[in-house]
Amino acid sequence: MTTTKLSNKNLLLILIALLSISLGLWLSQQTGHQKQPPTGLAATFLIKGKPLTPFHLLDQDRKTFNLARLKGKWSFMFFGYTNCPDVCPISMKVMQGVWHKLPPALLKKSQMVFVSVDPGRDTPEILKSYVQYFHPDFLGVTGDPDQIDILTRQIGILYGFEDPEPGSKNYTVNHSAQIILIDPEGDMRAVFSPPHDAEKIAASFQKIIAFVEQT
Amino acid sequence: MQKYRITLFASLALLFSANVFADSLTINNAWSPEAPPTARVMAGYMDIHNNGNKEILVEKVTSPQFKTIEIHRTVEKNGMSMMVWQPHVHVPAGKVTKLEPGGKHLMLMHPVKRLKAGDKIKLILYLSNHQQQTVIATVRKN
Repeated sequence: MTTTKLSNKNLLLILIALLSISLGLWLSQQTGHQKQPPTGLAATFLIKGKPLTPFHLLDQDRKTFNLARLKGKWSFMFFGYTNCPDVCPISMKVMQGVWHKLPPALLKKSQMVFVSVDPGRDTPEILKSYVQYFHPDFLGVTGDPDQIDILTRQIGILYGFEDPEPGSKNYTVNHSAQIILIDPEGDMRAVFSPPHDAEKIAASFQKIIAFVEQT
Repeated sequence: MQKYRITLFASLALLFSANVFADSLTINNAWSPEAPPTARVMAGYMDIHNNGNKEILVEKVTSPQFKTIEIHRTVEKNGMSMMVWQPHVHVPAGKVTKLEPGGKHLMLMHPVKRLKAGDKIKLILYLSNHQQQTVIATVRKN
């Protein structure tokens, strides 16, 4: 009789254990399904965004461009200088290509930002003409070197000036050629490394948005 | 008779071509991407074929439409993209050297006037065999 009672107890324990395992498996599958990070991206994606610290720059109309200007939109940022003949125009053409590939609904919540790390030559007026050549909606941003550094250092963009000839402005600027994606919270979300491909960036961006908006 | 004329013409054309290109370069696809209005620099790209049996260096490039032209190469180093000045473009015998986006290119500095898509750029290449070669590059949107 005692034996039978123990058996029932054991049976109950086994049933509870099985139910727990099943429930656990089911929950993990549900959770996994919802938060599965996107795959096949042409980018390094940060599942948890990296918040940016405040910086103060100026846009092409000399209006403040700070963290608040990144809030509420997905921002693509590229860092370069307008006297750059090869890498910068190539990358800006890619940004233009991405822009043309995005559906109107996404365009409304996105912005393209060219940040000049060469404020000595790139005035807001020059930047305006430069970025709007690629698209009238593109933004051109620059500012004090200290403020540029606050932004570049926290998102891993490097740059440096080659020594110019004495009395000449003909210097070149070495700079990272990554395109950085900032989410509407102002958090860094992805890094697209060169060589850039507009189609792949646009496709990756849409996967990233789908994931972030779902979680 | 007509057949002989064609053959003769073809032979002469071949002979003429061979003489012209024996110690020279054939350049195809010379172009420059249209630059934004305020740009003070443009890039020049082309495919340089060396049909001969000796290597040729392009040692200098000039143009009446630009104040200065330099030969550069874009390289990735220490996480940065940088332009490295090059003393020449090396075109090995029987090979093609490409000047292309993201690689070796001409840096066309300080245009005399703004160039737009469809405009032509006259480039004079100074070669190591003491010859000069004129190339016409087309400004293109892409």
